[in-house]
Amino acid sequence: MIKFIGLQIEQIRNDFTLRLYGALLALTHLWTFFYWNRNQFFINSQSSINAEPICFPFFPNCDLFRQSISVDAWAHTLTFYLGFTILTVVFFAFRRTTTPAFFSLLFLTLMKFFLHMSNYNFMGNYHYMVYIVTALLLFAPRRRESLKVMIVGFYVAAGLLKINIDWLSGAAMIRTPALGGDLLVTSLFYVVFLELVLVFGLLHHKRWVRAITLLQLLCFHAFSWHIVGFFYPMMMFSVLSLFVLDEFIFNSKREQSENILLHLFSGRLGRSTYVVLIVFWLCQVIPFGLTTDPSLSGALRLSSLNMFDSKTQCHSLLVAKTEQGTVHLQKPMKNLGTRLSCDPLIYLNQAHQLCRANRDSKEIKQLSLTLFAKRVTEQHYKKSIDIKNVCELSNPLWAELYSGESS
Amino acid sequence: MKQQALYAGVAAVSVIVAVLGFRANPQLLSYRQSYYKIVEAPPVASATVYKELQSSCQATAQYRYDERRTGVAPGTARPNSTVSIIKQIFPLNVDIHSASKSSPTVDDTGVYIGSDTGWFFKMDHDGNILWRFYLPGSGNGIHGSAALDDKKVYIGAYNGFMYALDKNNGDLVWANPVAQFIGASPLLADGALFISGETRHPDGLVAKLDCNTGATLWVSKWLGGHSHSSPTFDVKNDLILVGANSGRFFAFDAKTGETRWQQQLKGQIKGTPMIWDGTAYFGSWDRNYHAYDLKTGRSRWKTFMGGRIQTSLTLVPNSGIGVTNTKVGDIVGIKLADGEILWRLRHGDRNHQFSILVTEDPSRPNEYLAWSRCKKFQLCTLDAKTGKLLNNIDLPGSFTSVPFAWQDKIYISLDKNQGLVVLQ
Repeated sequence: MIKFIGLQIEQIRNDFTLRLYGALLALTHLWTFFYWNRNQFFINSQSSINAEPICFPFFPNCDLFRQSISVDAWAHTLTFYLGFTILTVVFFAFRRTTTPAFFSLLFLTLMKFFLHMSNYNFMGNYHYMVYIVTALLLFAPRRRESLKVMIVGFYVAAGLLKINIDWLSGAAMIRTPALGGDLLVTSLFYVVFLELVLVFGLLHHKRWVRAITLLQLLCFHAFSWHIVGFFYPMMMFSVLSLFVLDEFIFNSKREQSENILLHLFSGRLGRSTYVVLIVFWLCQVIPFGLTTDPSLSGALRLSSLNMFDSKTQCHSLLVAKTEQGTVHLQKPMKNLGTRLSCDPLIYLNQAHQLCRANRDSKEIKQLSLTLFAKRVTEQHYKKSIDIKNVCELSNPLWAELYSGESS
Repeated sequence: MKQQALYAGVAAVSVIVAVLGFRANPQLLSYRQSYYKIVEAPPVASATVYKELQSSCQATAQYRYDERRTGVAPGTARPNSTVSIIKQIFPLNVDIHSASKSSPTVDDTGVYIGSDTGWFFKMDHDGNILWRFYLPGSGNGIHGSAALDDKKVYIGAYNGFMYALDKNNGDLVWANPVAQFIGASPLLADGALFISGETRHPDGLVAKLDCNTGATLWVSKWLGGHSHSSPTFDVKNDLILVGANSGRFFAFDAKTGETRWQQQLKGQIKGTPMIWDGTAYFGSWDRNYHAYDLKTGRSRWKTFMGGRIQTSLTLVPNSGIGVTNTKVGDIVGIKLADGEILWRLRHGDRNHQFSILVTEDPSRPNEYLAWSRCKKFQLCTLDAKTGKLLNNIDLPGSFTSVPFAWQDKIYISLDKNQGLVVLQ
């Protein structure tokens, strides 16, 4: 193990492109800091001051853990995160500090992962992709090849999720784009074509093909800024920077022949690259085996990218039977973005917390939860959750596995 | 060879993607024709059933009393024109929203009333609360009036849900998220439940629900605007009638929800249509009262009222007269055959959100009393045929709901923390 890590560090040390790429991946933590720090989002979420206290299913009582730490401590954590990010970037700038750079990027990623997993408010594809890319940079034996193929894989997975009326019509847009009418629809079709077909140009042996593909992707992310904000584009610029570094700034020696695209389809890439690809694609496919519409689910799509594929509408019925009568409880409203407002995990978290509080007070005799959801382009609502007695479940956050029409 | 392998790989991937894509989204093939028509019809919600409770689906009491929404109390409800307050019950509305408040619905089992705080109550006839049901915010609570059958009470709320509750104990029987907001009152007719709902667009819809399961049987097309109007049923032509803020008046087939006819007016239609003798009567913000033939959808007459109309016309039985309030501060008696204004009582209260109740006068057989707000804190009793003022009753607060008569009592829900008053 030590030998293996030593070898990875040595490979990175001897390759200026990879070191610079490491610094740029470290910068994704800087963008994360800015993103989490805007409007006190991180503090509000961790302390549940102004955000729903929501958890991932594998850490159902994360809110108790988070609230056991003071607001000041969380603020210091974020400051520490920022400082460590800057340190990591500096470490990668120098050859002799590659070892601390390696471990600090690893530590930084694990720290972010831990913070991320402690709060479902932080969910998002942008983090998911960067974890994978960082892991490949640090540990993949044929890292350059794996990274490039994986990045292309991200786009293909994202493109597949966009083959539906919601994306192609523009109904999925969370803000009104600058384009409208036929031009908007044409550009949305183009994005799907770019992500499913043209993106393979990043692996082509001809340099001009790679350059044009990269340029299109960069323009796409730049254009998306006014719809999705700064964070997603900046993360993708960091992720894509490997291609820029490799092709245009440094004439560095490559591990493989240039024709990665041909080798990909003829089975001539490294075994580790194929293993990574297979695991990645299995994770993308899993939600489709668990539910009829992953965009309406929460826990069931945790393993996969869940892109800009649809906007959802929903109604919830959290009904408590008490001694005083029946109460249809208020649905959570605190600062949920478009992507989360109909996420079943939001409602399951609320029900779980009520059940937890009720263990002592026993005020609630029965708590039932029904969630009706649909894509905005659909006419009929589906029941994504339908549980008659939530408090009987040991971990309600996994309830989607056995409840609802869409499971 | 290498190139062939590459092209074969790309082709295989493309085919697989295309097949998967079209299988998952068959409507894509027709998509080119309808880029902008994303959702052509209102959403269809489904209900959750919490309790098995079969009932008759025949109304024992509902808003405006009957499915034609005549506003005439049955012969068993004959309060005297000289009633006075015997009880004032708190809490009820707090005036969160300016729309007309929920009117009480009363039958032999008790008094059922919602409030703008989100609480729904059942009381006995003396005003003692028997059970309560709370529903969550929209912020505006409940503004429609309940419909009752033999076992269940049906109520919609501003959170968009229709609820059916067990009359005995307030247990939730079923709930259906019909729309995003419901401010109207449900209609029990033709063995089913009808309700108009609103969405954020802004737009509106009418839905028919199974009263025992809450299942959505049909949803109308978009109304073009919010619908504050409650639906009315025409049994002869099997029509559901409703107006909308778009100025459109619709007649839907009660069985299928298909549009039989519709009319476009220049002003919003907020009141609930009344049916009498093959004609639908309703007022509009175009300042006219309108009468439309139910079978053909053609206008029979319209009468200028001087101000926007937001209320519903109330029938005066055996007279061919309807009575209503206007925004210019009048109570008016209209000849239903041709719209001629027969009498006008000017009181000066320019609030026009409340409709009139008509009851049989216990002291004069075959004569009728009209009960209306005539000043901000006054309930007036008039001779419904002549408009002669018979009595004024001072109230502790204003009201925008419709008084409900049961036996010799009148129940009125007041605005702004003044609760519910019982008069006898």
